[in-house]
This record gives sequence, structure tokens and C-alpha cells, in this order.
Amino acid sequence: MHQKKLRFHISMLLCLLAGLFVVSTAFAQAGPPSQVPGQVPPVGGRGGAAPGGGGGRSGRGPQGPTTDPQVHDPVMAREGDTYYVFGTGITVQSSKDLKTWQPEPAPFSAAPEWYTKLFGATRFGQWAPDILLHNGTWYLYYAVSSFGRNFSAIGVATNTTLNSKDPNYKWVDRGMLVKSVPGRDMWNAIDPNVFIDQQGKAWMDFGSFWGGIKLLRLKDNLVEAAEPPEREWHTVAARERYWKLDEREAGDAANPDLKYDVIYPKEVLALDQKTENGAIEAPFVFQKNGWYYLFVSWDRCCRGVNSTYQIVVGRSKTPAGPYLDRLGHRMDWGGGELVVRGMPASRYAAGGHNAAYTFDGVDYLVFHAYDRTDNGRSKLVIRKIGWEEDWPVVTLEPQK
Amino acid sequence: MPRLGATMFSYKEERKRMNSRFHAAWAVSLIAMLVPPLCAEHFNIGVHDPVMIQQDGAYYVFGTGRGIAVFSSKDMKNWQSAKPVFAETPAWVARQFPKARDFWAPDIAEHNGTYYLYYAVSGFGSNNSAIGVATNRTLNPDSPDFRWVDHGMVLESVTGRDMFNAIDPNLAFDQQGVPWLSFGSFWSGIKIVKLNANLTEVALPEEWHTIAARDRLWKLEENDAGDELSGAIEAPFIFSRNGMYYLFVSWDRCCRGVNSTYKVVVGRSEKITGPYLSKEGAPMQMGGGSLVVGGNKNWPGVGHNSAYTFNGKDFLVFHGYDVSDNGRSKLWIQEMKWDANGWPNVELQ
Repeated sequence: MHQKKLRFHISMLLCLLAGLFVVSTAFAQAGPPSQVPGQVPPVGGRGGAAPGGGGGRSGRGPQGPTTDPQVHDPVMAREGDTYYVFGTGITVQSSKDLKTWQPEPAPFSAAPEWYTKLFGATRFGQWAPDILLHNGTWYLYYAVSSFGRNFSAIGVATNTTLNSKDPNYKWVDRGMLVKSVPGRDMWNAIDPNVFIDQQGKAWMDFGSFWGGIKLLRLKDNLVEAAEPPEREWHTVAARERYWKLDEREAGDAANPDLKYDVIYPKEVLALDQKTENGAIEAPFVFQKNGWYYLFVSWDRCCRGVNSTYQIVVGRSKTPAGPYLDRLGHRMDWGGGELVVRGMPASRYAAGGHNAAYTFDGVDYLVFHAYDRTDNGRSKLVIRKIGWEEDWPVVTLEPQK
Repeated sequence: MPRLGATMFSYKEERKRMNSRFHAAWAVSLIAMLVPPLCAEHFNIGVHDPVMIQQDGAYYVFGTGRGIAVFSSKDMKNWQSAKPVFAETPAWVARQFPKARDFWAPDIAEHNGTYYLYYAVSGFGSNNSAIGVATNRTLNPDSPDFRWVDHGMVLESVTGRDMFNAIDPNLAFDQQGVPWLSFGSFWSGIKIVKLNANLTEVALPEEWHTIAARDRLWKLEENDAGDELSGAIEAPFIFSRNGMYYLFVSWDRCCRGVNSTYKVVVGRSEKITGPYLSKEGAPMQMGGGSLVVGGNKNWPGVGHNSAYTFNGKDFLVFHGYDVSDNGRSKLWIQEMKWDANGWPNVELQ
């Protein structure tokens, strides 16, 4: 128990350091905190290197060219003959062949005005973006949050091109779409994903931990939440969360603001530390053959080789669900069909936080996985999706 | 107020049944108002979710109803029905809740010479709800200053977004004079939120807490309030005494006439944001609560209380379902006694 606690504290410290690094990247020109250690890999997300994981060397954002790029929470887009991968940070890398990746300039050099107003301090990171092309405009959604808390918000910026050498290249902040407030909301405004349904309506799914993945209608401008009478919210995927847990924590006893031994009796704390307790995040909706496929990630990211992240999927004929897994279980009742998980003997300890795309008629699953051969660092993985009775099948091991 | 659901049988059917029963109850209540008062501690006026205040020797009771129900009395015994607060539905309510008929469970408070009346608008069994506030400079309808001014919405809840219900507001001040609004709920329990000094807006940065809750089956549809097996908690009221905050809430089912199981429980805290502990030390947000008053043979369900000190005496004000009168909801005003350990007791006779 004591050792566990110590490990937890070390893990928290590393998470904070990683968080500072992420912030320092985002705030490079706004004056980074002076104590930032330059030696933490660019992992960010819910934290970063776990003990025995990828702590340590060689981190200055994406470096390249490389055929083995590091990234957290990747999403992808293609413009012209170039692929772009965006990740937590926010980082950008580009490739012409999906094999060799080059670093690109970060989209944000300073924090948007709305979020310094909302969050004040600079200990917040920009997480898990989503990139979408709609009517000739690129929309870059991202979350602003900090580890273990749901004091978070989702913002969006737009650009007319992803090519940083184009004279028109300029990210324009379009403000905040939604925020979550501790004590008010049983969800976390992180991990945005925006899609247009078959009727042309815009939706954003996002989250979470806490009470699960949310879906809400957007206005047609894609930068604001819909207002009544169009306003519509749903919980589309969830996992059971012990009801006595403090509403300020995700469901993993990891909010550094809370004194767990004070607020919980022993039996509550034990239930809090169960891995699956509300551990669900990173939704992505992919449309194919009239189905909406909702991918989410279960369990724990960001612990290097000790990560237990896995990708599951369900599908629905309507964007608001219910999404059912292959056995017919509702995803908002804990259902999910396994797509990707790490195996004991494989290179990757765990994989998760996926996106999905069709390029030139081929469907791809894009995600990150923790590399056992490289100290548990988080690597970009792109795999072809095979389809079996309209269910996606993906092999994690490198395809020949 | 009725918030209900059913997991073991058809929720929709139940809701429909209760809906018609509720409306029938209201029609009967209106008739009951015309009947003169009969006895001392409970009063034969049909009232739901009563709150009370004293001004210039007169007492006023506000309750759920069309335009918000109002009663007045000179002696806390003989009650007369008065004109509802709203002759016309405020525009924002008509726009956002076109089907709403009743204003639910108000709260009345005086602050710096102004009377603040909080109220809720909701759909039956839905948490598409909002809390609004109106003010007046006097409660005396004969005064030339008497005029209700609506200030619109304070906060709202949205089905699918929120695991709480924006109903049953109660204003309280902490020892530093900061205003807080507790409210709710069913779903995942009672919330408290910090207000601005103007008492009509949520303060920024927002500060929210859940201060009382009960277990809720996690697979319930999010448009389902729950029932007495699941999250049946509502009607918070915070009463300050000797440096402690007492949080009263109502458990179980209101609004079912003689089948109501409503009861009042309490916990207390040194901080207005909790944790509120029961006599046994159980936190109310983890299901704790000590019974203050529950039903008996003649009054199977009693609840939705407020609490006041009038002329040096503490009173619990609530409604009860009267077996001798077909389960109609009646006004109760009962003296609240405190035991040696500082816990309140209320007898039903």
C-alpha cells in the first residue's frame, strides 16, 4: 500500500512535469515558466510517462524526419498530397507517404484570450485535438484541461489551409464551445470529435471519465453549441462509476486537490481504485454503409508500458444512439466490442485514443500505442481497418 | 412536487397516470381552499411545497401553483388565499417552457429591503427545468409599492447534459454573507451554487457542490428522474443555528395522496458547502440523513419543508397528505424542538 502510494506520487510528479512541458510548448512565445525541465518527452494528455515508463530523455516536440514518430491522441487530415497528424500539445507532423514524418509548426504560440480569462494560471494543457474540413475551412478543436480535474473547456480555431508555407496559413481562434465545471457536471469537456450526420446536422461528441461520453448538437457554423429549440444532449457511452465517489474526481483517485483518506471511508477508496471505474474517453464517430460507428478508449492511458488503454466500438443507425456492441449491449450501459488492445508479447503494451478515416478508398484506424522497445513512449500507429459483417477488425502488430 | 419514474414497470404509463392524478389533486386543492380552517397545527388549505415569511405583522405562505400560489394570515392560523404572483407568465418562461402550467416550489426571502421570490419551471418528470427569480418591495398587496418584477432565469438544467434538476430553490447566506442557492432534484442529488451579491445570477468563477444524494441505478435513462429506490431526494432547505448549517431534504415520494411516502431528513455542517453529516456521521451526499418527521397512519407522507424563527420560536413548515380528506395536501406549521445534541425534532401532532 505504502509503496503504491509512493509510486502514485512519483507518477503524479511526472505527470505535472509533462503537463508543464506541454504548456511550455503552447506558450513558447508567451513566456514559459522558468522551471520547465526540457527533458520530458512530449506526451502530455492525462499526464505522461509512468514510473518505469518513458520518463527521461530526448523531448523537444516532434523531431524528424522520423519513421517512428511520437504522438499522443492523434487525429489526421490530408490536404493536397500531404498528410497531417495533430496531437496533444498541440503538435503537428506531416508526411507524404504515411511512413516518414516531418515536424510542422505548432498551431498556437500563445493561449487564446478566452481561456486565459477562464483558467487564469498557465498550468493547463491543450489536449487531444480534432481536425475537420468543412466547406473549404479547416476546424481544429482542442480541449484545455489539467490532470485529474474536470475544470475543462473545448475550443476551436479555423484556418483555410494546413500548409504552413502557404501565405494564407493562419489559425484564427473562434472561442469556446463548451466547458465543464467541477461540482456541476458529471462529465469532462475534453477529447472533442465533430462530425456531420447523414441529414447534414453537426454534432460534437466528447469526454470524459466521470459519467461518460456526451454528444451535443452544434450550430451549422460548427463553432457554437446549438441553442433551444435545436439544443440536444445525449450520453452515448458510459461505464459504471461508484456513486459515492466525490464529483470532483474522474473515477481514478487521481485529482491532486483531493485528500482521499479524509473524504472516503476505506471501502469507498477501494472501489475508487478499480481500474474500470468510469474509465472511458476519446470518442470518435466514423460513418460507413449507413452506420455510425462510435469508437471509445477504455481503461488507463499515459502509464508507459503499464498503460491498459484499449479501443472498443459500437454502432447505431442514428447519431444520437443508442450505440450497440456486437452482442447488442448498449455502450451507455458499459457495452463495447474490442478493436485494439496490447498483448503481453507484442511491441505495444497498449493502444488507444483513436481516429478513423478513409483515404483513397481504404479505411484507416489512427491511434497511439505505448512502445515496449522504446521505454513505453507513445507512438503513432496507423492500421488498415478490415470489415467483418460490418464490424471493424484491426491488427495491432505491424502489418507486412 | 412530483418528480417520478419507474424502473420496474412502464415509466411512461406511470408518468401519465401520475400526471392526471396530479392535475386532479390540484383541482381538488383549489376547492379545498374555500373551506374554512379547522384545527391548530395543520390547516385545511390545499398547499404544496410551502415557504413562509413575516412582514409587518402579517404572514405569507407561497406554494406551487398557477402563477405561484399565495396565502396570507394575521395569526398563522386563519389563512386566506391571495392573488397569484404572476397574472401573466413571464416571457422567458412562455418561450422556453410553452407547455408549463404551474410554477413549482418557490422560496421567499427578504434581503436589504427587497423580497426575493425564487421559483422553478419544469416539465413533469423531466429535468428540462429552470429556476427564475422575481422581486418586490413589499408583500402587502394593498401597498402602492406592491409590484412583482421578474428577473428571469438564474440557472437551468438540460436533459442529457445534466444529472440534476433545476427545481426546489432555496436561498441561504453563509457566515461571511455570501449568498448560495441550494436546489434540486432526484437524478444525482441536491446542488448548491454560489450567487452574485445581486442574488439573481450565478457568481463567477462558478462554484458548485453536491450536498446530498441517494444511490441511483446507473443504467436509468437520463431523462428518468428515478424513484424511491433510486435517487428520490429533493426540496433542500438550509437553516442556520448556533454556527451550524442544517440541511433539510425530503426523501421518497410526494404527490401520491394517501400512497405518498414523503419524509423530511436532516444533516448538519460547519460549512454551507458541506459535507453535511447525519446524527450517525454519514455524509448526506453518500446517502446519509436523520429523520426529522415522517408519515403516520393519518398522514402517510409529509415533506417539502422550510424552516423559520418567528418571535423567538423555530418552526418547520411543510405539507402533508391527509387520509381523512382523500390524501389532499395540507399546510403544516409545527414548532421545532432541539435536543441536547442540537438536533431538531418535530411531532406530527
